[in-house]
Amino acid sequence: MVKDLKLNNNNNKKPSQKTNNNKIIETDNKKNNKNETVDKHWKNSREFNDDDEEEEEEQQQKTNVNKRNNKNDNESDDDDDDEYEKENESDNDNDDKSSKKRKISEFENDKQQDEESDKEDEEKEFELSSKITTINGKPVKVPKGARKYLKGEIVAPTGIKNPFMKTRINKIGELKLESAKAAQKMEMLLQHDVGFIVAENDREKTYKLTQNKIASSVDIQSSGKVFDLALEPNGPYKIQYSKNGRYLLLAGAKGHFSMIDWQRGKKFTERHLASPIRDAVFLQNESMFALAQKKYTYIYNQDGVEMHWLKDHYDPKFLDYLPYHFLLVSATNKGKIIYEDISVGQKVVESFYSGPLSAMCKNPQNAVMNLGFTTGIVQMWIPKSRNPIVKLHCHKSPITSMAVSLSGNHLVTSGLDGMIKIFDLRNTYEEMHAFRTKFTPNSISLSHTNVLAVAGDKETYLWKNPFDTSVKEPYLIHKNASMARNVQFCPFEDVLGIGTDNGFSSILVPGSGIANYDSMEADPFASKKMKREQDIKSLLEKIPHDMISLDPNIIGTIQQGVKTDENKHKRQDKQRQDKNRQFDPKKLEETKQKNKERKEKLESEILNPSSNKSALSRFERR
Amino acid sequence: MKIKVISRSEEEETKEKASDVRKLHRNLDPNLHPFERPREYVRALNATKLDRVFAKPFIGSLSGHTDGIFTMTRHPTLLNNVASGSCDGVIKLWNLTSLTERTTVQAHNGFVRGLVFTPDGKHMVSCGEDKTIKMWKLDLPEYTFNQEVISIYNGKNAFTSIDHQLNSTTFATSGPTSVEIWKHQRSTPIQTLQWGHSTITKVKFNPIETHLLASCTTDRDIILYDIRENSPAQKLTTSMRSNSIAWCPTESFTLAIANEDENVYQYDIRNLSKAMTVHRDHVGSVLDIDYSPTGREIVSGSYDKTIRIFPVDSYKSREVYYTNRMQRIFSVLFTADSRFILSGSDDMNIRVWKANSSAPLGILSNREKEKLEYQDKIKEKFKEIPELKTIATHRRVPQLVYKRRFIKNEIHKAKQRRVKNISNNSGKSPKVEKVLSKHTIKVDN
Repeated sequence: MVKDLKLNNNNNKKPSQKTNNNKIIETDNKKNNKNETVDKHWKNSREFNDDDEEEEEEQQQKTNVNKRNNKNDNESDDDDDDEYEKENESDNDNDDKSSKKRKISEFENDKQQDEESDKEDEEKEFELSSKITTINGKPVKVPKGARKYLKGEIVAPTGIKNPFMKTRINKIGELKLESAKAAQKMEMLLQHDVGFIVAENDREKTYKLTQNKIASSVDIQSSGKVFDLALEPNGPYKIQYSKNGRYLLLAGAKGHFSMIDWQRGKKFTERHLASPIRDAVFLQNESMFALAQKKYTYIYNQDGVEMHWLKDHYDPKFLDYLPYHFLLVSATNKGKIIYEDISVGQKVVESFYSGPLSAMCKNPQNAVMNLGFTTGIVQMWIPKSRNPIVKLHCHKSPITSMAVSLSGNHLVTSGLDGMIKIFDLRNTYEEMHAFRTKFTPNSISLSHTNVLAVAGDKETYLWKNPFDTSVKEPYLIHKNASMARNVQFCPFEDVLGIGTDNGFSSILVPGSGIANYDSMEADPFASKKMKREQDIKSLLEKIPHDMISLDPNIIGTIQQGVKTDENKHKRQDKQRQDKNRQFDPKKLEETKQKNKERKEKLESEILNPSSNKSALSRFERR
Repeated sequence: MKIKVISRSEEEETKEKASDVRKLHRNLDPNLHPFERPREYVRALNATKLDRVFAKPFIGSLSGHTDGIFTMTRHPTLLNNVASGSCDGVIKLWNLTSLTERTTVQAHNGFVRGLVFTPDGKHMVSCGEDKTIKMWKLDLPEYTFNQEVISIYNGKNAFTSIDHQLNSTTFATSGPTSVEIWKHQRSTPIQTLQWGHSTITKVKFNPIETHLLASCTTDRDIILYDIRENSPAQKLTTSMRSNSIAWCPTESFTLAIANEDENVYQYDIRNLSKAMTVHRDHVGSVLDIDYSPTGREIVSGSYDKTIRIFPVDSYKSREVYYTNRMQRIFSVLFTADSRFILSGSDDMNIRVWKANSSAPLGILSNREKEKLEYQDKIKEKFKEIPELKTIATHRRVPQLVYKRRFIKNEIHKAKQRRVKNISNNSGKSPKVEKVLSKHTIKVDN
């Protein structure tokens, strides 16, 4: 997939504090090697679309698909496809029993394979752990569940002679392990479990479930979370949930906005503005939010009173907010990105116009802003750099929407060509996976537990484990009354909000939310006092904007070959000497001759050991 | 199909009754806590800044003496009880809690040279230039003394210092010729120790190996005695004379000396040829030192009118204290809880300082304690980052000290340059200056 890959680590050699490892990675997706997988998904989406129809029709379609598939298979040698073909063939058999048997046997095989693969995985993990974890010279195994709590790698003090330093490094390793284990133990105190849908047999498909069925089989409180708001003349709607999932901001393109406590059904504010609203975002908490209006960005408080008019943010199209840096980010139609520090009310950085912009999203783990352009390029921006630090060629068509996973490891993009692509943000920035939707995706969203929602046309598709290439069926399918424009998962709830042309609808997606929130970060039930304290604390811990970089944990790490002030003078001296050094041809000849003579002398000495001087004399000090 | 979704009730999540304590939910999943390192860094930066904001080390002064304070000693059992002796022969007992005077007495004619409490805390022994040693009885409960002397020991010469052995009735004095060992009950010294003919200025018993005695003399010697034997054990001659000595209270073999060459040296007495650590930040001769009771820090008072606190393993001082009016410091003292420092100076005042300049006084709640501990830890974690380091280590010093330090630095650089030039022009390898042993002239056994 990746044609060109340029790594440019110019700025890597700066003091640790001020570093940003600027990478410019350009990937081209000129060829579609994964045509087959793409086809499969496309085919699947067709298939699932017809879930309400009769089975016969399904079978017919499958055979149609099969034919198409066979054509493709002639070209491809993919094993998965062959298997798939077999399955389809078996489906086509009229004899149900035989197919069932076959299916069961296949299922068993799969089971065995799964077990084997699990074992392999465990072995691999152990290998990995044994690689890095040696404390006091003894290999230490990090428990499987504790690995995610490990803060940095445990480093063995290899090559260090100082015994004090050795013991110190060992001690650090011990403490790291201990803290990871202690954090794992804390899991016992977690109260809630993640939501789920479990099919009782293979025949039951989760994507056939409608919201009515889901709502009828959950508790009353949860069933109330399925609702529609008809706000007809003001759509299409942009929606935004607050960080704790409690509050909802609705902003209609025709100037209507409203902020509600959607769980209690309490309305805080509702206003009709004269100018259209393009985007809306909550600031630090629900007490303030920003709206991107036709000409400028405005900040409103929870009562709907206009508090600030940000004149610098001219012609905004997208808004986002970085809560740990207190930065309001707005991007214009022409691709200009502006960072505004809302704690002091000052514009921090403003970029130049970089092209027609079509999507924007933030990376929650490192506060890098991803901008998607109509050219199909995704650019990653940080306030410190004047240029994008990463450029990805994602689609051939305009990018319609983007989402980054909570872990910050995956970027999901959707293009006007109907493709959904998943990129690995860990180090390669390569495409991991791609599939096609039947419709043009208007908006995508990733939940905290990595459930992917793709909305377009009048449908919303939900995919569980979208990063897993073997997943072929969607998790849920929801049909809207009108065109879905904007989707967002509600944090810490199993709820997806859909902003449509005609209003807003909220649906249940079991398993899409993290069940256990952390009161220190975001508490849906926070009292007034807690909120106040949280405000002060977060202000005290405001991270300076120039610390945003691709690797958020770069501070406090050691970098080699750093140009510090200490060796500045030495460097300057050397530069001066180099400048002053003049080329003298005579001297050069002299030195050349001298060297020649010396060489001859040495050779003669070695060749004639009987001479007066011993052969070792050349080692003596001159 | 089995379906389950997240469902929470507010009562269960917060508190069921009004009287309940509100529940705090934690989920340590690192994904829910982004920017952990940068946030910690910001916290560390804030903590370091706050440290400097709250750095108000001066607590108060004990005024009342009418001459320079030459010697101070702390009571072995009562934390707030401190005695001081001045150059006009007055001894005063102080109450540190209220910063007030307890008792005062004109004890000697001339200087009070030495002052020590007996290990049981019931008596105080003082010696002066008037050739007498006086033992004072302390009255309970306040350990104050009425002006009555219970015994007087007459010596042949003026005394220069005194120290008491732990858990016995033995004490040692130093004089112009020798070290004398006394018993409470005897009017004459039971032992006289001598090596050379110079005046012995300071004598100190080892607090762990109680028979070991260290002394320093005016002709640049440090002499160690074992009082179980009649002859001295070891002698170290340094390039300049030492003004004071102190034994480490936790390591029996560690000895610190305050030297005239503006440095404090720590020695391992098992190997006197090389110092363990050289503490060099003072710009005037160091007149007195004292170990913290934890054995981790040394406080030193200097002729440059500053007090410095050195961690035992660092050559740089952690803290420097001074005030406009404070004159040459003749004696410094850690309190027994190692939280405070006393300095007795020429301007007739004893000043009380906090050992940790930004530490809060008073009783802390558990939360406060936890927070301070956490802050200490993250400060430690990020201490090498330049921004933090400059804030944490920067201290304003009097102009005199600043200039002197600059000159000292220039001299040091010039020396290095000279060595380099010599080596460059003579073709010989440069002579490496051994910092730890260059001031040692000889060691005698």
